[in-house]
Amino acid sequence: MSDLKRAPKKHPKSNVRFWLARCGSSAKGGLIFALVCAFVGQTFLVYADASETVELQPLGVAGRQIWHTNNCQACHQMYGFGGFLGPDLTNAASRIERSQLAAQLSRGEGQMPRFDMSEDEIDALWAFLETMDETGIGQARNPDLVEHGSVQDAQKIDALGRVIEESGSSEVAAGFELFQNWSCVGCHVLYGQSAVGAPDLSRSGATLEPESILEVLEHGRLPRMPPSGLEPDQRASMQAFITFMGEHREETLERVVEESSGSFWSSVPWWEFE
Amino acid sequence: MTQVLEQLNDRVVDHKVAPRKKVVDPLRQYATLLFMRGAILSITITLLAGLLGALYYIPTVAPVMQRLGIQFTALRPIHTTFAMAFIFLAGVAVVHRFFEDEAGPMEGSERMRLRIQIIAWSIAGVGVLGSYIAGVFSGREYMGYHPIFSIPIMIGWVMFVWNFYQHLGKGLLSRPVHVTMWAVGTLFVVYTFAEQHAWLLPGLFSDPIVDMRIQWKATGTLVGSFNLFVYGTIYYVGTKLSGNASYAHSRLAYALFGVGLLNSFTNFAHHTYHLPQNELVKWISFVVSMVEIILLARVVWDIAGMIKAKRPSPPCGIQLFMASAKWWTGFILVTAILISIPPINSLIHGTRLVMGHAMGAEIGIDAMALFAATTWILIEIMQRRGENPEPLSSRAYRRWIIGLNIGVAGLVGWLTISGIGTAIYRYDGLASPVWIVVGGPYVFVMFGVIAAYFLSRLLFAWMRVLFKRSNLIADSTHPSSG
Repeated sequence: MSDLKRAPKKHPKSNVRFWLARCGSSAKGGLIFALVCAFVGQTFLVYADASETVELQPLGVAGRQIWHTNNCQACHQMYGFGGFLGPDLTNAASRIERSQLAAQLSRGEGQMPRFDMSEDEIDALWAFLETMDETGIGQARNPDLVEHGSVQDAQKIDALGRVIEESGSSEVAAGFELFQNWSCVGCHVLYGQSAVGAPDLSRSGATLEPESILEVLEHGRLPRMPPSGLEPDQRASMQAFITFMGEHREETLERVVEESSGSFWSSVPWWEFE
Repeated sequence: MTQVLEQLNDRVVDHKVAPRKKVVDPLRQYATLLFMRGAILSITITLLAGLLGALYYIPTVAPVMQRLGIQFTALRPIHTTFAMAFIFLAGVAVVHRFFEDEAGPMEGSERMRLRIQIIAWSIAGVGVLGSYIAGVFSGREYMGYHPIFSIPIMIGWVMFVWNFYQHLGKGLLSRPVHVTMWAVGTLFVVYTFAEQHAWLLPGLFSDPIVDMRIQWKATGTLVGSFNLFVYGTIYYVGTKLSGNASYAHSRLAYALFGVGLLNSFTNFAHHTYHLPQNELVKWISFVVSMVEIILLARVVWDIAGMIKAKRPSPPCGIQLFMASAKWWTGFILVTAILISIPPINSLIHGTRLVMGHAMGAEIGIDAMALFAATTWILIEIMQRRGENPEPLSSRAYRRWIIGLNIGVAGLVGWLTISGIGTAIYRYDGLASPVWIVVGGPYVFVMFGVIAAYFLSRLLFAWMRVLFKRSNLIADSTHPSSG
């Protein structure tokens, strides 16, 4: 005890306890100190994040500038930032072509105003959208659908396949095969209108004559549907499939619902972007 | 916080707010009045822009608006920026009301800083509105105006922080929890406001993912910082009206402050679960969000107590606003906890449920609490002038508060339901059902108009007091002010 008393006295400012006491010897001071540390730690995690990112090329930087100066964010989201009037555009480049973007900007549609942009500006905006599309997924999608390259629930597709097989028509089966593997599924779905507004192909067969279906498949339909690019025999198979769906919509839907087990929650990923 | 509200509900009867006993520097009173005026003007602009913006959701009306030159690209940022300005200005007004009691007469240097603050913010307010109307955008959330106007905003904040710490910096830890909240809130505002402008750095603009990570963090913490002003206001008003300061010094109050603040700077990440980002940031957000269950339990406990308690007289306007804030806190906490669970988040992210959640938090909790403080401050002003404060606690006034709550509840409820509907369909790549696409805009506008009608009645009542021509300096000599 006496040795301790004789020990040379340290300057108080060199003592950690002194500083802790200065920060607050009370529980309140400790709480604030802990919160400051937590904030600094969180800030460090965000700034030192080494996860993969993407560097915009000069054209993309110009496109991003256009995105911000026109306040596109007021209506459209990108990774959750922005308004709710228009669709999320994080993955717009996967859903539409450059020509569709140009058409949309030049004429406007519904709530979207017209923007007078030059071709160079549209090129820049498109470059920005393309780069953003490569960075990840902006909105959750059923992973089974992405895997199958389809916008239909995989189980429903399997169930429908069995119904078509039972119908015994090889032409309809060939059309169904084409539907899944051609670019149709990029826009169309069965038993519902797709998120991009393309018509429900299970109804088209009931409203369109076979000749009209063949016409649309060959030449497309303005302003959105491009020519399908299918060979004549493929177009015939596709038309047979669409007509079959129109004639048997209700019964196939009933079977599909019956045979598809509810796997909704099990398919939802933990972290959305994975 | 909720205990303070309980005490307030029990002890404040009608509009009989006790007049102050000591002489107050009239300049301080004038400062409170000026910031309150700014807050009320801001929410009026917010309301107008919000109403016009809501009309854009009706597809047949939107082209007419465009032809008239009223653009949604301007309306939305006006609405969000001025909503935030309302919360900050009302919070600053409450802090100045606190200065009236605690800070003594205003000295020369402080007066100069206050003058700079008021001039800077006035320039910023006019400039920001002009920037939006002229279509000059930076395209950022909350701060979509030309960034040059951030300079006067920042100057004003620095002046405010200076004055704040000059009076309250010493012995900060021995002061009640609301002063701690404001002290932390003011510093957070300055930091996060600067961080919001990180995109101006050239290297960051060309890397949109890093930019978004930082912007989400800064925005989340900025929202947390204005929440600190709001929660501080609740404690302060509750303490003043109940006359009991013990809860504002209690460990529980500080513990809840700690949980709330931790949430404010970590749970922004429940908006970035889908953004390419370090998973640790997301896990921290998820775990801390779950801690909110403690807060929820506390609020539910207090609401249950409120229902059980029998009160002889109908609640006054202040009590009704405070009770509304408590009910909204319960609801918003439930949705906040649910959307922080990653699989649910992945479904509802980017739907209108998120918009409803933000609206519920900003109108239901923040605005209701600040409206209670507004009512209290205005009743005091009327008493100082020797006027009868009956209009701010009459039956009609209470009806407007209930009407406003019904309108906002309808709005938030509809956005929540339509958001859930959209989420389920969107997940399977399907368009939203017809009842959302066709009926939705009309339901949205209908509830928006109901809320706007009752809010405008309240605004008129407040404006009659705030903008009445009267000499405040002379008023301060009125016997009711001591």
